[in-house]
Amino acid sequence: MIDLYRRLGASGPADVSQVARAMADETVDPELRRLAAFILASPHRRRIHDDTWRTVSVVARLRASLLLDMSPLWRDAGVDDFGPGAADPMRMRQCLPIDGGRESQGTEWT
Amino acid sequence: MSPGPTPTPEALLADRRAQAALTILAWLARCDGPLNHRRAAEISRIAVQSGGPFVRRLPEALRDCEAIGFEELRQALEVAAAMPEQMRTGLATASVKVAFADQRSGPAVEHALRLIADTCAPTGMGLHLLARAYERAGTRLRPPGDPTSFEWWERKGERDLGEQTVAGILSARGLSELRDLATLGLSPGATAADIREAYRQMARQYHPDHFHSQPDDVRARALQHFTRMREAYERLMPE
Repeated sequence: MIDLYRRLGASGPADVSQVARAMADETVDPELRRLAAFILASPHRRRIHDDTWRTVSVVARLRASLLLDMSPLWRDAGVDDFGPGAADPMRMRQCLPIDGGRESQGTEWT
Repeated sequence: MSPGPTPTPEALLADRRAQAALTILAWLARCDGPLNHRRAAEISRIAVQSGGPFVRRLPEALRDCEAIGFEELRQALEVAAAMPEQMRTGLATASVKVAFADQRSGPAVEHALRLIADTCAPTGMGLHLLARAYERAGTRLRPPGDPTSFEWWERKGERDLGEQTVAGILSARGLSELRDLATLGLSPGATAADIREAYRQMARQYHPDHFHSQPDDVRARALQHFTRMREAYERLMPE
């Protein structure tokens, strides 16, 4: 998934003015304009896109903050536009106290 | 009124974990739109099965789910990461059940589930944990959908209309109208009365007469803003 808004130079779904400017700008990649028009032309498509855009933006920030951006579930998900950039091998997942609770009892939510 | 008994550290920990788990489930359940009754019912079912602290925290989790902020969610995920293994596995499984409670899962939910799985899994085992959780919920792990790909939409039966769509969206009723509405601080769907009222209020606020005693740069900015608003209004409400 690409960050459509970032590529159009907009800060997000609310930045309607910049989206409109980019759509009218013939120097912007025609394929990108075509894709943007296809998504924005339909309220249904736009809602699905914008919901995903918001969630993926939050997930990217959370992953960066929790040092979870090296995981294959993220790295291979095709969302590079949302990541902080090149993966940094120093940001190790092991930094998290994931085994902080040593006992194995607990609630089974199934 | 006398204060109740002081909660034990174990009770506080259980409460904190319940709060974190319910925050995560509530966020997941509404990350692709408002919380619907099937997902809410699944969260309730999980809470009731899980016992005291979960039931106590349930009403606020469901009530406040639209307002879960970044920091609150981050802290909830940190608490989840430090839970005992069985609880983490349970949370991952519960997440998948909540996500599929209404028989649909869009790409937003899929990315949220992947984050929860990575939080709940030991290092590098997120994929395995998620696949197992999908299996337990009676479904299969799939790659996340991409709503910025024509192929993904085509699989859902929605076809690209090519350049026609670009022209359509640039038409008088398209993005330019949205831009003009945004200039007046309005959302799509605003009525003529809304437009008139918004323009009247903003014109009162930014009319050049109000800025005659201000420095030149402030006056120039106010005039520029006023002109932009007037132009937007005139385009939206032609005589």
